[in-house]
Amino acid sequence: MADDIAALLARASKLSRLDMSESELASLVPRAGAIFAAFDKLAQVDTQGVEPLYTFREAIELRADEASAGLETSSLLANAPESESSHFVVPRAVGGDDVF
Amino acid sequence: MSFKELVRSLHSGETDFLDYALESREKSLACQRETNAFLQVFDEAEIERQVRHAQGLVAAGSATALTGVPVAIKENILVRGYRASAASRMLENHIALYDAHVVQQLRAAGAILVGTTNLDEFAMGSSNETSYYGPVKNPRDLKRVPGGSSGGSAAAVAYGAVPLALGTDTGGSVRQPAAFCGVVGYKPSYGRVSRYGVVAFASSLDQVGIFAQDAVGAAALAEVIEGVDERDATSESMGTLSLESLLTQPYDFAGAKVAMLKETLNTRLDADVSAAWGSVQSKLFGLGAHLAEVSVPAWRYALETYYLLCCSEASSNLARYDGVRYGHRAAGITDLDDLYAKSRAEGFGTEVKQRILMGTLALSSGYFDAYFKKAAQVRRVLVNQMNVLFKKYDFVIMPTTPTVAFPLASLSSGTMEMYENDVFTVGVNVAGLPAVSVPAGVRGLPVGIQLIGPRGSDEKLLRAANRLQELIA
Repeated sequence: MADDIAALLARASKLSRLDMSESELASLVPRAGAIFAAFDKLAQVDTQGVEPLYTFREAIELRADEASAGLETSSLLANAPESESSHFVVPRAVGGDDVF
Repeated sequence: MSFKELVRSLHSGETDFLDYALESREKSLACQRETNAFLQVFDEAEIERQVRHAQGLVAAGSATALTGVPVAIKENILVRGYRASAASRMLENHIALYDAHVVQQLRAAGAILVGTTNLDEFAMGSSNETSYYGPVKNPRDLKRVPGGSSGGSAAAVAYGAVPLALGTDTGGSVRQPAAFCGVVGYKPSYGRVSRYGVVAFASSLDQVGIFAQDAVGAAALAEVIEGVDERDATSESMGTLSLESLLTQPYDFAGAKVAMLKETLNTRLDADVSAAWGSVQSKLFGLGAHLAEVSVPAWRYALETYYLLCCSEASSNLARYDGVRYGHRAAGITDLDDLYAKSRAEGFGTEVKQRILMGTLALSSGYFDAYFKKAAQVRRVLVNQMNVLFKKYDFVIMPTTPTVAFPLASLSSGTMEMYENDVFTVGVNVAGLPAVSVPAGVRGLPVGIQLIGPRGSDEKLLRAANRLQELIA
């Protein structure tokens, strides 16, 4: 891991959409540094030619591509922070009033 | 009361279903007041409704060993109509829209769901101190942690509120709290139990696990929840587990080949753990088991491999919490990016954020090969080395944890010191193995001894764990 843990954490907070203050990120630097130093131990293991194992069931059987009954729209909206008729409501994402 | 005795008492009519279920509810409320183990205790009407269903099964001749038996559910497992918070502010208002597969199976078997239990936020922690709803206290010593992340479920069983509870075990989250609270904790082989309806943390490691007073109780619950479920593509058929065989075919350790991993033998143990560990070794030796020190070099890297994989998978799994469809949404938002970043920052606690950040880094361009891919390669090396070991040995045995339950607020979450609590448990998840922690304390605080078997050997493992527990008692 590169030395500048603080810069890497700041980059990760952007990539992972976490709005974190500089002081909040700074407080994580010592422990993140120690943890990545531990992670670096893995370089000691010879894995030349070893296929990574990401999941135990490497041959996944797919079910038939058939529609099945799901949840009602009203149920799916029940936990939404904001909804309107059959939609999730979010803040305006593009342009101003003149866009549409 | 042993699980066998409980079932006999319920089925003979000596214990009334409704009286017993309501007594369990009352104890759960008391347990909540004393330890903060429960997040929801269901009301009397809900309990009565379930008891009527259980009585109907008895009348129809369809009763199972779980019919009428109260069970508590970790609050990252969905129970339709009840909050499924995963102990996070992010989901504090989230009501489950459907039952998890394991909950459906419990209902069909006539078990009585009594309530939901506290946990570390999103099951990330080893002490149950990262919960949005506050820490759980260990019923065996209220100044100490119950372990985590399924601390509430472990405490509920140890307190005697319920005879059985469900947890989830991603890196030891059933076995470690079972050890700290003095109960049995069983983590099934990966794939044996469907994860449908379980809040995802690290999908290649997560497995629903069981707390019980004895291995027979754990097997009775396992028999009900295991099996292939097409809604979880990682669930697999591994044969059926028979409670009957546990009761009728006691495991004989004479001639059993039991491995002790050299890589674990130099770990510093608390005096209580050391005493229990020594006692178990002598007893197994006395029964004619062959104990041998065996080296599995990759086990030395299990902790780092585990944390790299689990943080990476968590960063991906938790990307779904965006403040749009469900979960916490921050106020005063101006645009979509702001919505995501502020909602996530407010909704997640520090431990969860830290793991997301580390996982995001491990998966990001320039670091993927050195971290995530490397960990997945070391994982295969470990799996291969364990497979070689299990060609010669029936089980691996070791203490479940190096220490007894530590005092509340004595270790900081998110540090290597906290993560090192999991040094004996995470290798099991990395390799997809089944394991059972059996209470083995010989003095003072509870201690767990962990028996590990090859993937798919769960029935033999539970039979052996049952025998080990009898041996220790």
